[in-house]
Amino acid sequence: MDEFTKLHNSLANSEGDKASLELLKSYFAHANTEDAQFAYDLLTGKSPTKITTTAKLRDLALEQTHTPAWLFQECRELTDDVVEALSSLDFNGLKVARSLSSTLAELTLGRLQRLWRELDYAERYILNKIAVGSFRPGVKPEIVRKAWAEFQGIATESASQQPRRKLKAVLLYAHFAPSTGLPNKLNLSIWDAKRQELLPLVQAEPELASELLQELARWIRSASVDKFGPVITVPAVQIFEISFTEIERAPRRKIGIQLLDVRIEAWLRNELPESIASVNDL
Amino acid sequence: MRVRIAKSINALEFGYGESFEISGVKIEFRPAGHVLGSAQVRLEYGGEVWVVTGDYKLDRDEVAVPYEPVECDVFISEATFALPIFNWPSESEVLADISHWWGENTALGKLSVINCYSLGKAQRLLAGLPTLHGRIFADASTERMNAVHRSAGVALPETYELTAVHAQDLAGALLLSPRFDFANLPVPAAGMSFAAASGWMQVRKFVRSRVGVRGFVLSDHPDWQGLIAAIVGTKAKRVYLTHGFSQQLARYLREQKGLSAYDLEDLREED
Repeated sequence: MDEFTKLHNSLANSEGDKASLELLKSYFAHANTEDAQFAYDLLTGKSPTKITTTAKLRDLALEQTHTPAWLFQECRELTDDVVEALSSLDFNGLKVARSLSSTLAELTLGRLQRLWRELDYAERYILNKIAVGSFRPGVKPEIVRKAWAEFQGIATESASQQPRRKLKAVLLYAHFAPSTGLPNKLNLSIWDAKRQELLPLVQAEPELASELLQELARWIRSASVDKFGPVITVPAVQIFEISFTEIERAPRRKIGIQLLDVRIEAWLRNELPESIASVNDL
Repeated sequence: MRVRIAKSINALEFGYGESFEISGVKIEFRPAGHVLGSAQVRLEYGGEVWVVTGDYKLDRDEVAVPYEPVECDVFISEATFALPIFNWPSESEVLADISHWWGENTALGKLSVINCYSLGKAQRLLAGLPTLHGRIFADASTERMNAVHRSAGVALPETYELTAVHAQDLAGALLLSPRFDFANLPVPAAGMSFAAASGWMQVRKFVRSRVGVRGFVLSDHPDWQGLIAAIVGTKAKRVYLTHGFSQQLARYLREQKGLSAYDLEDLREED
């Protein structure tokens, strides 16, 4: 929230489109994926739906800060802006570092008073503007879109430059896109020697040549052992090579890990299932 | 005051806590923390003590002797920023932001100009900026005040007058001045960036009204909570308020704190 607030303030002070573009690209590059997406939406005018009215917001703020209504009226007259005036009150809080995405995810009337205590004035002002649906991006949407496109370009480039690690995994489920009739997600598993079972590792898009993808689709249909909606279960015989950049602990998953930036590199049609990776390898 | 007003003024000098008498009233100056040498006035007569703050500030800086709470029967306080929307950010944060702004301008070869009072704010900035990114210039009135501070033993970084400067001297530099209009100032090729440092910069419409000027919230007066803390701290039985939002603060103190608090104008009417 802190970084987005700084970005928003810097954009307001920025001299010219070029400076704004650089500020935006730098923000997108440093923010996590969710925050970058939320920021992009906010700054291109796609604010989340308003959760309350200015009057309700004012009542909550006066109650929480013990500010008499007549005194608040004086503040409103000086600022000419109810949301600014109520955001400027002393919430006697302690700033907590919060991400933009987590803050917006918590933006409900019930949580508002807690959020106010955990944000500083500048953050509170932005949150409250969003809450009542009067957030102003303060930057031209075409500049934001340009920065986003350039940032995406750089991100893709740097991802392909990163050394990727590879492993082999076996196909167990395929998800078919109704529009194309082709598999658009493959669920791949690896072997857990301790449990003596296959554990789901990743779900990824099969970026295969069209011919190969058609052939895979035919094989999946012919080998189907179970079908549930668009998901077809197949025997564990088709091996794929995947690449990834990092391994993270994921205690909630049965396999205990998750891979980042996963890509399906190849369909290894001559490989035997014995060649697939085991959890211990990771 | 002789430098600021006129050499010829008829003035006596007293240190903080030194007392003297006029018509049987015992008078003492106590630190107000506003600027170098600023004082509250403590008046004692027939066992009753009145204190008049003048401008004061509770936040400590590198220049002024810190504000000293003085117990009294009647307290007359300024109320410049007496609305609950005035909650100052920490001085160190603001000074770091100003330094950062200057650094960004320096990287572009621009001159940074801060609009600030020549007495007080300018020296507070000079003494407090955590990082210096180039030379610091000051207009003649600020430079005179800098000299007074240095001779009073306040450590300030080196500053330069604006006489006989070239555009290349000003590229990346900082200029402190109470004015924005500079006749004959050689502007660097990369241009200038402007900022203002004041408590009023807390209000967005005042920042917006100064298009192209970056606003930093840095005040030499108490904020809302500061005023209340100062007033309650004097244990005064009666409080008079003057300047700014005096009526609003008086009403709040009467209704919420049970104090006998009035606008100073009301005292005049009593006479």
